[in-house]
Amino acid sequence: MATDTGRQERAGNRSVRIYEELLRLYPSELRDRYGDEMARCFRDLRRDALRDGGRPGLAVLWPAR
Amino acid sequence: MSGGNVRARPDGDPQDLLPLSPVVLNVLLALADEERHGYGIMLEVKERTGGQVRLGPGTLYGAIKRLEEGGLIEESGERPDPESDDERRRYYRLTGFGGEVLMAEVARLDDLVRAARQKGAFPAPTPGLERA
Repeated sequence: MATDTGRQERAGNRSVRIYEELLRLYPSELRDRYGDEMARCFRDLRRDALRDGGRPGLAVLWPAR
Repeated sequence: MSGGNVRARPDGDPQDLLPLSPVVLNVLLALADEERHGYGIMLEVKERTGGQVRLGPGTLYGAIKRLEEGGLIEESGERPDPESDDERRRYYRLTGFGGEVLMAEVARLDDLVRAARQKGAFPAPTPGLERA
């Protein structure tokens, strides 16, 4: 049986994958130089959102594109 | 971005770049006292503004790109706390020109507040927070 922690982790990982896909929509000159940093920032945001609010906390990530 | 035209030459006049956009001003202010990586800038801005300003990665790095190209900030090769930090992170710091632009913008805002105060368009001071 899946634990809350496991579900939260999967939801968080899914958010990161979606964000990494969305990064392709940015201009290549921004993505090429800063894409890795942007993805790292998003993972940091996801980690803090999960810590502070659990799965519902992930909702606050999406206005923060 | 309005006021986000920060692609002047570093030997240019800081006044030419004013007014700064809120995003640019907040990024420069976050770097005024120490070098920070991107997420550190996001956290500083969020905490300093009581959560009123939250920069997402796209907004932040769009501003960082323009500020680097304009010579207002630069990547720092140093790691303020190498023991506890991921060495792949890039840290940013103000350049001398970036500091001049920040000071010029703060002076402009100070003049604006002064004018507002003269016209009575200013909230009553909070007890205990009055300036000396």
